[in-house]
Amino acid sequence: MKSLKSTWELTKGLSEKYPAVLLGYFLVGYSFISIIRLIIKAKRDGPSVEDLYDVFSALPFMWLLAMSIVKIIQERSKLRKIQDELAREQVQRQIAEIQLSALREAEKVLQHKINNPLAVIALSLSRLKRAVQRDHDLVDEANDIECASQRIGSVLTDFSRTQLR
Amino acid sequence: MRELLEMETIPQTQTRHHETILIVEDDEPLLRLLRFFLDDGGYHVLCAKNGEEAIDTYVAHREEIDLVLTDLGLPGITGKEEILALERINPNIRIICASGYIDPALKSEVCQAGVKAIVSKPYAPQEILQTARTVLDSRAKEER
Repeated sequence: MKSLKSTWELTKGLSEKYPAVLLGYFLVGYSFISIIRLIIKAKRDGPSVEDLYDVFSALPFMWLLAMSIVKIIQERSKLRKIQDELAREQVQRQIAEIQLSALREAEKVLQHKINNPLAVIALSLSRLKRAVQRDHDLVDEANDIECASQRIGSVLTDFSRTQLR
Repeated sequence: MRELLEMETIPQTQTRHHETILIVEDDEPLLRLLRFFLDDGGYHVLCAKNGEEAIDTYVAHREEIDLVLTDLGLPGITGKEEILALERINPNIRIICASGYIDPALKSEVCQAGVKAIVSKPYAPQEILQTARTVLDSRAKEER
């Protein structure tokens, strides 16, 4: 039973891979059986043109049948390939969506975690600048810190805008 | 240029207003700084560190509080739940939301719940003072 199943699988695999070879085997097999039948008949009743016609008249139809089977096998293989390709694309799309949504989630958390301390820095700097407003060097330094903290904020915002939208 | 920058970044002490603002913020340094700037801007300030405390404070000082400035990412009950609870207590409440990140869906939800303005962190003190003033003035106009 197991060997029968594996033979079937092998034949199926071969027919999908090489449908034209299968067609050849089909026609050769049919011709072989027809010739054996013809020999048996000729031995029994003597050779006749009618027998020859009887035996080989079905050959064109067998050829057409075999061609149709080959065509069906080829179309089925193409269809399976397209289905596999679509399934692969769908899986890849799902993976990409999951990755994107994980990144968006991380972005939300990061925006919250980063922007809160940046707000503290911005407000503290405003307060500090008021305290040292007569010392222009210190005000300049405070402005530098402010610019740097704004850059930190914009890195995340730019990343979100360009990569996650 | 330097003078211009200073004028722009350093808030000047304002005249005193009669309004009271409730600040709801879980980040203590930020709460302290907001309190400083709003107090300096001439407002009477009340503070709460989470949603539950905000609701309790609002209930206790309902007549007094003119504006609530709340963070959205709060521990315990969320900012959105707190806003909805405050809105149930007073449907005409004036709320400003401040957050490091506001999801577009959440933004529309809180706007429907009566939030008058949303401020993104990090913000400058002038931004907060200006938004607070605009929201308070719009209320005064509506009352007239």
